[in-house]
Parts: sequence; structure tokens; C-alpha cells
Amino acid sequence: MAARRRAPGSDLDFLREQLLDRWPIEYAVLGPIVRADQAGMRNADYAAALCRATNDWTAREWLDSDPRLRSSIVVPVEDTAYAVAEVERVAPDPRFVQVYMQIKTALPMGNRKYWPIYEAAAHHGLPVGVHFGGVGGHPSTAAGWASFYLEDHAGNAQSFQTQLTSLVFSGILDRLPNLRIVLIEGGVAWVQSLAWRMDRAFERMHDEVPHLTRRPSEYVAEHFWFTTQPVEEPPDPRSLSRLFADVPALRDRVMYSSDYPHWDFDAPDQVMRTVPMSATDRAKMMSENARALYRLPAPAPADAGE
Amino acid sequence: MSRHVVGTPADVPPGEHKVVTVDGREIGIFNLDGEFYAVRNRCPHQGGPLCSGIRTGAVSSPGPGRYDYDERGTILRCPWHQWEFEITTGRSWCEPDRVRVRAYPVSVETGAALAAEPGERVPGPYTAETYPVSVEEDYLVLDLSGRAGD
Amino acid sequence: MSLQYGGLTGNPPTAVGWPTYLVEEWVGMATVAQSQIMSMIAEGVFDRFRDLRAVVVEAGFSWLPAFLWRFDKNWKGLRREVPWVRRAPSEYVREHFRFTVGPADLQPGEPAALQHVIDDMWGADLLLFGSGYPHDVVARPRDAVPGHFSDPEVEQVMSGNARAFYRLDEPAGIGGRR
Repeated sequence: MAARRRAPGSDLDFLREQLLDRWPIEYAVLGPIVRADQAGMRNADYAAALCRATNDWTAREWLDSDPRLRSSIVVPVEDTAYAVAEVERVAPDPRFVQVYMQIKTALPMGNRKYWPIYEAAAHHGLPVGVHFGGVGGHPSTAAGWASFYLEDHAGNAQSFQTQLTSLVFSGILDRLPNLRIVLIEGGVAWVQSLAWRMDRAFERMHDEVPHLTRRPSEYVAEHFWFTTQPVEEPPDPRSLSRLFADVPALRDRVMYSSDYPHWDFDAPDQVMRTVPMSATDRAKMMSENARALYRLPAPAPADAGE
Repeated sequence: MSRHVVGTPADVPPGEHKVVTVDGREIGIFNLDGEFYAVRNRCPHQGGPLCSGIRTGAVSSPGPGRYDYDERGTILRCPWHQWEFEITTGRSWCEPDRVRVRAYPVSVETGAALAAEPGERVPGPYTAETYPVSVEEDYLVLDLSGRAGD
Repeated sequence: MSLQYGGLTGNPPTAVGWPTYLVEEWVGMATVAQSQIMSMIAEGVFDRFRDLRAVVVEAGFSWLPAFLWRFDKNWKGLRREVPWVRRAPSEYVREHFRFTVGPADLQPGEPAALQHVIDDMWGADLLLFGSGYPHDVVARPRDAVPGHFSDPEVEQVMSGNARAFYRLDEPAGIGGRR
């Protein structure tokens, strides 16, 4: 009998069996989900301690044990001083490749309250990864509390749109030209319409945001990355090919994600399998965009003298 | 050559299933209250291991806020994206006419009957496990050329 | 029913709190509309009231295909939570919703990309002309319609779709309908 397994996502051997060894996975970036958001932030000292413990545990139990693994720095986002201190503490370990937030924040992400976190990330050359979920203290949709998980899940895509909008109009992207934001588990296909809508709004209301030096769509193309799972699935998969042609920046910005171990996991050899795309674009999506963003070393040649 | 002996009824008690590999295809054999059904262990959506998904009932509704739960054990939910499939026909709940998992007929036949048709039946993995077919027993026979649920 | 831009409920106009600038709120009205469409479909409003129809006014429409691709996908995996929703959400939208085009999130410079969006939402069938009067007024009505639209499509958006949706050709008189 094999040793009793812990829950999926908390057992390295099981992760290897179900994911890392089953497919040819070079690197996997972990995204620990920690209750250090608004819901867990009533006690900021506790939230900060929880984040420190999680990052230490991740390094010791996971990153030390498998060279394929990288991770994300979890921070108590609603207490900026603590969050910055944690970025400073962990960022020197190169196996942590991004600062991690969840999409449901107490204030829209462009709010100046959060800017020190972005400054710390940019200072260390780290992207900020923003993952589905969290508790910001607000109703789950822009129109109030939804009744069903279906609405909550699909509605997260709308929170991603709101956060992108807030970041673009806030001016932080002018202030930190090398800030890179990764939107994780929020979908991709909405970005074209949102960029149009923001440009249209900017034409009429730019007096309100005179700090912007460019059109909103230009910030989107330069500062935002997206991950596949749960990528939109149009009835005709070619709709996504057309979208990628119409928004060329997406070819360099979309990265495969698995959502392992959740209920809507995508396998690497299956995701967007029916979407016509060049081999080059597929390689970018599956490997090269993430390799460039997270500065992951290329694989050593097989005969590298070992 | 498309009929395969895949086990005996006792191998798959009511409510249980077992996955067999026949001609390179993984196929789940299911026992629903004594009736046997077979579906491919590959979700037509993204190839997920369908047969290891949760086996559940049919959730339907006569109107908003009301839930009916019946036909217990007849629905298979893919572990990768939770699409639901009818074990008896392979039809998906979301697009029953367009999205289906391949379903095959399974019959229970006596060893005596099987012995009488040696030219047609392929012993399959069952005899590969060194179980000879004996005339006294009953066997599950999977028909790969047939289609269940049409 | 008309779902018109605006309104105040006491909740923030986003799911992540109060925005800093009005321009965020203007852009975000598209996400409010998406939330309302999701809610009406998920709660079974159109299963209870099968003839109910709704127009989304001044919140744009180019977000519709991407929104429905995600909503349909989630429905396929989660539909047992809302079993009264018997068809894909996109089918409810096609049957029950219309959208005004002006003022909207059109980019005149990208007709091919815009046409792809319109192809992905059943052509011009769901679009109604909206003037924006007296707020964000479209000076020439034709400017509210995508520049590359054919004459029949322009006619649909400027006239035909609204005639059918509002039943404008039926005889007048309160109580006289039906």
C-alpha cells in the first residue's frame, strides 16, 4: 500500500504523479492561496505571520525538493507596510518569481494604497501575479451579491476587467514603466473590447486623468500578461485565432496555466487544442512567454558534459 | 473481431465500475442495478479520464429554485471540467446531440455460448490475465463495433 | 425592460470597491451589465417569464461574445447548480436581450476586428440604435453604426430590429394590444 496521500495540491509526490511527471513540464510556478486578504486582515499581525510562514514553508517543503518548482510571494495585501517588508525579505530568493495577490481586493488595485507593493515588485524586477478569488469585503459582483457559484466564478472575469481598468487609469504604469501584471485565471478574450472601451472613454474624459501619457490600449499591450485556464471557449474555435490576430500583443502575453488541483483543470496537451495557431505561437503560449517573463533558464543541452 | 470478454459480472458489482484496455482503448464497464454499460475513458471535451469522475444522479428542475435529483448513479461527471455524461448512452447533458462520449454495448453471456462461437469472440484482457473461459460461468462481453444509446 | 447606464444601490459600482475616477466607472458599466445579465439568467427570470425581454442601454456590446464564451463554458461545468437553466446562457441572450450601439465602445479604426466581434454575436440582429440624448449625444445617427456595415445592416440597427423588438407596427391604444 502506498502511503496515505494528503489533499491534491498539498502533496508533492501526488503533484508529481498527477502533473509534473505525467506531462513534460519544465517549470511549474506555484500559487499558494492564503487567507491574508481583507477577510483575513482583521488582524494584520496574524495575516503577516501567515504569509511569512507560507513563504518559508513553500521554500522548504516544495522548492527545496524539486528543481522544476518556482513560487509566488504571498503578501498581506491590505497592510502595505507588512506586504512590502515580505517582498523585501523573500525576493532575494530567485525561486520566487512573482508577487502574489488575489483579484478581490478592498479597493481597486490602482488605488495608491497599493503602490508601495508595486514599487517593491518592480524594484526587484518581479511581476505581480493576480489570481482568481479572495475576499475583498464587497459583494461578489458589481451589481450586488450573486446567489450562485456559477455567477461568482464567471463574474470573477469582470473583477479582472475592473482591476485592469483601475491600474491603467491610476497612473502607476507611467510611474513604474517596468511593472508587469499577470492576470491569472481571469480569461483572455475580453481584453480587446475592454481596450476599445477604455480608449473611447479616454478620448472623452482624458481631462480627469491628465497623468496618462498614452492611450489606455497602449498600457494594456505593454504591461499585462494573461494565463489560459479557464480560457474562453467560443462555439467556433477559430474565433480565438482571429482574436489573437486582431490583438497581436496577445501572442507574447498569453501563458499556459493548469489551475491544478481545482475542478476545472486544463491539461497542457489539451488546452486550446482545437484553436488553429502556428507552432511558433503555441510554443510561445506553452513555454517561451513564461520563460521570458519569469526569466526561467532554457533547458541545458542533453549532452552538457554531465 | 470486435467482441471481447472483459470479465465476469462478479468483477463489477452494482454501483461499481472497472476500466479495461481493449485494442489500446481504455473503456469503463459500469454496473447500473445489474445492467452493464461501457463508455470510453476519455472525455470528448479535453480528453479527461472520464471514468474516474464522480458518479452521480441527474439534477433537473421544474422551475427556478426547485431541484429534482433522480436516476442516481447514471451520470458521470468528468474530473477535469465537470461536464456530465449519461452512462447508458454517452450523451452529454450540455450538448446531448453534439457532444458525446463513445458508448458501447455490453452483454452477459454464458461460457457455453461463447465457446460455441470461437471464431468471432476475442478473449481480450480477461484471458490475458490467464482466466480461461469456462462453460459453467457467465461473462461480460464488450462489443466494440456496436454503439449504445443511438 | 430597459437596463440603463447608471443608478446607485449603496454598493460600490465594482466588485472590488470604490474606484477613484469617473472614467473607471464609465468603463466599468460594461461589467455591471454583464453581472446583471448573468444574474437574470442564473436566477431563472426568463424561465419564469418566458416573454420577458431586456435592452442593455449605453453599456456597449463588443464585450458580449467573450462574456458569453466564458458564461457558457461555466454553465457546462456548473449547470446542476441552476438546473432550471436548460439551455446555454448565450441562447437566452440571443432570445431575450438587445443592446444599443450609441454611444458605445466602437473603434472606427479597426473595422475588421469589430466585424469579427459582430460575427461572433449573430451579426447585427441584437443591435438597436441609441442616441444617448441628452448626455453623450451622437451627432449624426449614422455615426453610431459601425462604418463598414452594409445598407441592410444599417437598416436593421436604425429601424428594423427596434420595430420588431418594441412591436412598433402593432395598432395603438392602451389595452388594445393582444
